[in-house]
Amino acid sequence: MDVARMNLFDLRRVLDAGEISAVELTSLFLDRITQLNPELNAFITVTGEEALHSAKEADTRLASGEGITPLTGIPIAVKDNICTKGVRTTCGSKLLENYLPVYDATVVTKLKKAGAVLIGKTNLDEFAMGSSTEDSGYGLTLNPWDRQRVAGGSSGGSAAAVAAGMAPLALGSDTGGSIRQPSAFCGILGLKPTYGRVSRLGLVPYAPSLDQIGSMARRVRDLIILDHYISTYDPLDSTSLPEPPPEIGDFPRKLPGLRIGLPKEYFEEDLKPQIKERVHTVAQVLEKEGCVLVELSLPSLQYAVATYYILAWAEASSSMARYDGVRYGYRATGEQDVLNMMMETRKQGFGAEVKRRILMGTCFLTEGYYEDYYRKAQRIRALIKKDFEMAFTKCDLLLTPTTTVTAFKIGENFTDSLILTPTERCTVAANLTGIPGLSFPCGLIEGLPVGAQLMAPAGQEGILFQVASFCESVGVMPEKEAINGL
Amino acid sequence: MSLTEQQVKALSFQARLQLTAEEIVSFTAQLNKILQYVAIIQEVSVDDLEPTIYGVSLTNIWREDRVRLSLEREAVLANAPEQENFCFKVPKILEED
Amino acid sequence: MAYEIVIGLEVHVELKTESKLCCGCSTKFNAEVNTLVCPVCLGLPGALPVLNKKAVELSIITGLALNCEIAEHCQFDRKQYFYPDLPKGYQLTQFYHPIGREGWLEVNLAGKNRKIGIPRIHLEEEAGRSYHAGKGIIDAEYSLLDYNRSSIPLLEIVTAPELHSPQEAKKFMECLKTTLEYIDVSDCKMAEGSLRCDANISVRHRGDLQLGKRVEIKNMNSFRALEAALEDEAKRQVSLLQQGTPLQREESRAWVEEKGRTLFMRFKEEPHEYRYFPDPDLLPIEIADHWIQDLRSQLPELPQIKRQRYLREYELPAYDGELLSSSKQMADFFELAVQAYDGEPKKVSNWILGELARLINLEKIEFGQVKVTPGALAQLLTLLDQKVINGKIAKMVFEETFYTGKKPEAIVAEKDLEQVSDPKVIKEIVARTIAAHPLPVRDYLRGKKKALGFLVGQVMAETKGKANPEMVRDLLDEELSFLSRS
Ligand SMILES: [Zn+2]
Repeated sequence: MDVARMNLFDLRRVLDAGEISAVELTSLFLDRITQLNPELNAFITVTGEEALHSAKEADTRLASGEGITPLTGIPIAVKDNICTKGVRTTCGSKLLENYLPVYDATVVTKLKKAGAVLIGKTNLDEFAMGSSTEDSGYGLTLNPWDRQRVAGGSSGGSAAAVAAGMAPLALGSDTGGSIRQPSAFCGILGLKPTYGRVSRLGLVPYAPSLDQIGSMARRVRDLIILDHYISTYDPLDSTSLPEPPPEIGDFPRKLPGLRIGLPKEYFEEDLKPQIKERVHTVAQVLEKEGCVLVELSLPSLQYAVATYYILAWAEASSSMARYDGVRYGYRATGEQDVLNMMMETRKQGFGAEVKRRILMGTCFLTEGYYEDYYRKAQRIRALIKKDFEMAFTKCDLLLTPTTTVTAFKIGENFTDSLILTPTERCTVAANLTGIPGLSFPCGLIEGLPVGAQLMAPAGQEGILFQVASFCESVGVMPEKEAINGL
Repeated sequence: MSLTEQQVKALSFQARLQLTAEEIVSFTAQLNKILQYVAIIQEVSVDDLEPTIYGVSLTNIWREDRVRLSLEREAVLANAPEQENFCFKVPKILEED
Repeated sequence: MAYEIVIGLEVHVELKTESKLCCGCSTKFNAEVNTLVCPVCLGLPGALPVLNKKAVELSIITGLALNCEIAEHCQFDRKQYFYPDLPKGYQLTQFYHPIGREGWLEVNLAGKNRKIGIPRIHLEEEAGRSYHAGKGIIDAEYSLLDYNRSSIPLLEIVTAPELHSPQEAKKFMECLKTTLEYIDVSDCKMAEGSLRCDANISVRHRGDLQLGKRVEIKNMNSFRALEAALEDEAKRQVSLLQQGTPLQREESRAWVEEKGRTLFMRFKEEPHEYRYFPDPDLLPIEIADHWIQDLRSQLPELPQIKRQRYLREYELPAYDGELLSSSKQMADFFELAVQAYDGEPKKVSNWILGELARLINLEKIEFGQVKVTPGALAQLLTLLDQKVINGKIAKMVFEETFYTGKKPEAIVAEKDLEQVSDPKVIKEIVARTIAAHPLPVRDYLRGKKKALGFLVGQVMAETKGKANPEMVRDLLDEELSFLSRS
């Protein structure tokens, strides 16, 4: 059975019909990982034994017919900055090479409860700081479409795993685009939910006011289901939204008459012309269906990346402070006193990109920079929020490209050229404003996938699902998938 | 604004990152490049806006004062690089906090 | 030349909550090391704080009792520094928006009521504890960390530099402690560290406008130590002034109990760069007026007010009023006893401050552990007033009540301690005593009036102390004067 190419609906059907057991299904995925992962390097840790164990439990459930959910027996890959009890969680950092969490992230608890099978922990840029998964302490992840290219990042491992059919579903995390950008690069769907909709408990923080866990899949319906099972109010996360998420399939409105905003700033500057074309094609398809296209402007967007750098890195410098070699993680040995032990531990444990962001973030919070950079960036964050609120009075959702380029060549975006081509340009605003952003594939350029991004007001994931679902149904997304070549 | 190597060295000490001489040179250049880029925010006037600090606009989120089970001590110390007598062990502390 | 001492205090109070500030671990004192620890207070990656509402409430109550303006809006900031006992690399505190401002505490200093300013109080987390192997921190080879105390709620209370002698500082602390005990927000045990105090002290020529360089003194574990340390430091600073070599740099000194001296720790460097910024994980607190009003209405009568009422209502001397109101438990005891007793309140006060205080000191117990009830004391005083027992027996009965908790009436009945007041019975014993002791009788008749005491004692002994001593004296006197005439 070619499970790698099957969507969740099909997998569900064969499992429920008893055509295959959860254990067999998991084994098939594990085989595929064994076959593909050595080259693609999407997984840091493959949890074969644990996976087979939970598959067996899922089989018991399936046999009894009790407590079956759409995810029972379905393998899921989890980004390695999401804590899994007893399964090492490295965050892509050598500093946490042997770190075994003593508790499960809330999302992991939810998935286990639903009967899902956690199949492995996926690669990422160290502590999710990066946009190519080249800055991982465990080697880079290759793009399944073209192995000369990056998978994107920081959730590159999850994106590659889903694109290559090593898992039908995956969890990622998104602070400035880390789910949507690799999803676009790998030709899959990725959702950054509304801030507060998915519990952050157990997500190792990079920038806590921006971080969200989200779902990645190859089919809209699969994405909706995974999103549904991880969206929950969590009293242990103070920033968790108390309102329950909408029910599956609870699409709020009809497409005709829906106003689709096209903010001009997203289609300027360095945007690849073919990408512009692909996204416009999507717009035209929607217009044909009766949606109203609205041209608009988000002038503050030009400050978004700078604002993001300042806020995310300032928070990051603080998030990284706990890795001091005292309680867990790597410790430099041979140091005579605790100060030198900490200095050496952090020197040896962190990679260059993390160090750079810590230093820059530390600077933004020192006197002399605090008001003019950090506080100012927070005010600009408010301005961007205001601009988006204004935009949402003129339209119901926004349609933009997810990235200005397709997956770039390995090494192309390395280190200090980062500033010159901020790949976060299209994605950071959703994090700064807390609204949901969904990237879906909208075609290929020179054999590489292109991502279109939908954004809606906070809490309105439903409208994103609805539009993406329509686009999928009319064949906007490429027929070809990475899996076909693997 | 730009940073001197001396300032970058001071930042690295504040962040408890031991840097080599070469790293200080290269980081200084990189940080200055970033500073130059983010300076773009100085051109907009936003003094009338309240800073946005949080990802959500909720307030008064708290819990009642009830004791919950703590971790087993084995779990607390499970990842300790070094331990003694159920405590985390560290090299001597030279400075007072 | 006259000198002026200027002292300001920085007080830390552990709030009396069951669970910690940001997690559900118990705040129990003296538990085994690292047994009251969870992912949150150990600073594990991905753990998130959730605020303890009670801690906020106790802070507001304290603010009200200290006449502070309560903030409408407050938030938690991260105070960032590296130290092994600080698990997250930052301490959650209220730097930008303290919960209370501009308060004061009225203290009776040198017979005058003075309002000592309290510019700010704020809520923060406690750190863990380090144990140093070896003699002290300096020559320790390594240190051990216990995080049981980590994240216990701590209230910092800062006074204005308005105290002008070590005695005033001590008096202020006593008064503050009494107030905190009244409102029941803390155990206030200096020995257990639930009440701690650092002092800043400087000395200048009287009339100088500028303050001298100040010295911070730490490590004072009792009020007595506070006074002694400030005495020592004031003396040192005065003598430096006299020698014309005033302090040039601010410094920190530690009180060393065994030596009875403060010892130099280090010079205060440039103000530490703590890179405070608002914590994105804990959301802000809005304190509504009605909440403040509600808490204000629950405040008990505070000691300063109580003292004044005692003088007015019960006509107690100032000394009694101050002592009785210095402990809420004692004041409550006093008021209940007065209610149950028809006689003068001053008598109640005498017994509490006399016999009861003596026995408490003797047994080294707390007022709360006393077995005597206010009703029992009232009963004893009534027995005395009705001359059922005499003063000496009363003390004996009280002692028994103190140790056993038995009611005085029961003790009197059980031990047959009722006073012998029948003149016939006493007359008989008096006659027998005179006959049995011719020598003292002769001495008395020859003018040695002291001999009467001996004879009274003999009569009392024969009645096992129960005879009405006045009656004994009268009847002996009567008999002897009869003898002298004959
Ligand atoms: Zn805890």
